[in-house]
Amino acid sequence: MPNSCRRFGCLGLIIFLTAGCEIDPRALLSHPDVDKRVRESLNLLNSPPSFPDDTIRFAVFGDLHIGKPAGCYWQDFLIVACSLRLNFFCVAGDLTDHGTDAEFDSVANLFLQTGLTYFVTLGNHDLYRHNSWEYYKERFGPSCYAQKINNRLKLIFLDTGEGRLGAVQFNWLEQELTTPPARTIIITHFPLYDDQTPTIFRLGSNAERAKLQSLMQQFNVFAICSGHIHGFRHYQLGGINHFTIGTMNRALDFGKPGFLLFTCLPDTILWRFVPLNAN
Amino acid sequence: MPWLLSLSLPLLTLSPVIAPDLSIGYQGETGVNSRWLLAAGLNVSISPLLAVDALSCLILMPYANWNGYSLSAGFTYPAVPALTLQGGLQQNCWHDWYAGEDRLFLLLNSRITNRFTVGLGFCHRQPFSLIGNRRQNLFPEWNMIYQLSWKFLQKDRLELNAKLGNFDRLEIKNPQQFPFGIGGGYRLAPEWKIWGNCQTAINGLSTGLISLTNLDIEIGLQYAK
Repeated sequence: MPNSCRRFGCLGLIIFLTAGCEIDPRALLSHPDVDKRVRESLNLLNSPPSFPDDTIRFAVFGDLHIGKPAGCYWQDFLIVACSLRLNFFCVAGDLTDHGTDAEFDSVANLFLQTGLTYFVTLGNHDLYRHNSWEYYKERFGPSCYAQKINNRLKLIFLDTGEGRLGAVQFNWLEQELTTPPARTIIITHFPLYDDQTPTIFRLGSNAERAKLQSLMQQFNVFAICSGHIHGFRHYQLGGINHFTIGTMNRALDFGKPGFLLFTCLPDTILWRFVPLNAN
Repeated sequence: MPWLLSLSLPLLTLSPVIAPDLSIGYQGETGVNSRWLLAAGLNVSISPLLAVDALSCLILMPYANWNGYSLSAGFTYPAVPALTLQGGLQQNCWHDWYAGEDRLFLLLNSRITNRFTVGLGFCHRQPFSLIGNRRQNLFPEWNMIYQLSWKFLQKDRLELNAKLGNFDRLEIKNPQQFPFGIGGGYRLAPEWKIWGNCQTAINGLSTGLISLTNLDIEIGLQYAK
């Protein structure tokens, strides 16, 4: 078979396989891989915010999927967020549904309108266009970084947009976990576990899962918060709280839409799931 | 019950074939694994219907340590197509980060034709942590096992296979990693065979973003008498 025919055949197969999906076939194989994104992220500076209160309240949620026709519970979140007097919120990826320039614009506008500080990382849907990483970076900066909160708490955002952590990110994480403050929460898109008969929607590699779990145990990480699966779950493994944090999306895998609320007191961290109106 | 008689007769006419093998291999996964392994195995066919297999594996580099083992037994039902039910257990250790995994599996293989084999089964994973020299069980999982093997070349001494499957003697990958590769064997002498495998695996299938981050290479020598 001539080379050109083979090339057309491969292209045809990719188009066939991705037909009806949200993904641009070019992004399927040519997205910037996690090592490249992490290297770029670590070169981007993010300034540490300071909050005047002793008690810090923040929400963690994921999977907004802005651009999905079904929509999400953003307005409900705003009402609840206002009553809870949040200091900031964190989003664990899948801000957009197709990773387009316009969708990232909409997300940035929604976040700015809240008047709250926010920290985000990306999900697989945020990489579904050829230039999605550039669009994301322009609006939100790094996808892998550590954020100190009032020198009492450290939030570590990991980039698992393509379902893996990669060598550069693991090396950075091992160093980051050794530096204070000791109380750490990891926020990322992919969960490590998904119940006892898991779907494909959790970190694929057993070795990566074992390494991440081990690092978290060695350095007494308080919790890991993940999205990707649209529902709320909580396990405690080896002293680590594993949260699948719930979603604002109307397409639910199980349970109710909602978000995870953390209350960071001087000597402890409290958490609870806050359901949103699912009518 | 003539079918029971047909099964038990070959079991009674014991003609054990003992096939030890020694292999060296590389197991690499970006960010987590890069190690050279040495494995010693023993396959004993007690009869044409029943075989047991044992494998022990050491890490040679970058440090010397125990990597894991597997023990399994396979029972073949001589139907057309032939069916083999294999059950066993495996253990893998990751000493760098004080962790490991025990696995229990059951796999039904069917040789559809002389060149094409399919298999389906399940495994129970029990990850564990060894931090502080204390074993602590983590979250267990049930996973599906699948195997497709196509012998695309068969000569007098040489055979080559294309494989898609998440199961091998030493490891059971997650179903969504879709490990695939080629393997083959060359008969050096009537009782000696050299064999090899090379495979990679997709990561992040559920993201829709494909990256190949695994590389497993293995070459071994088997003696069968």
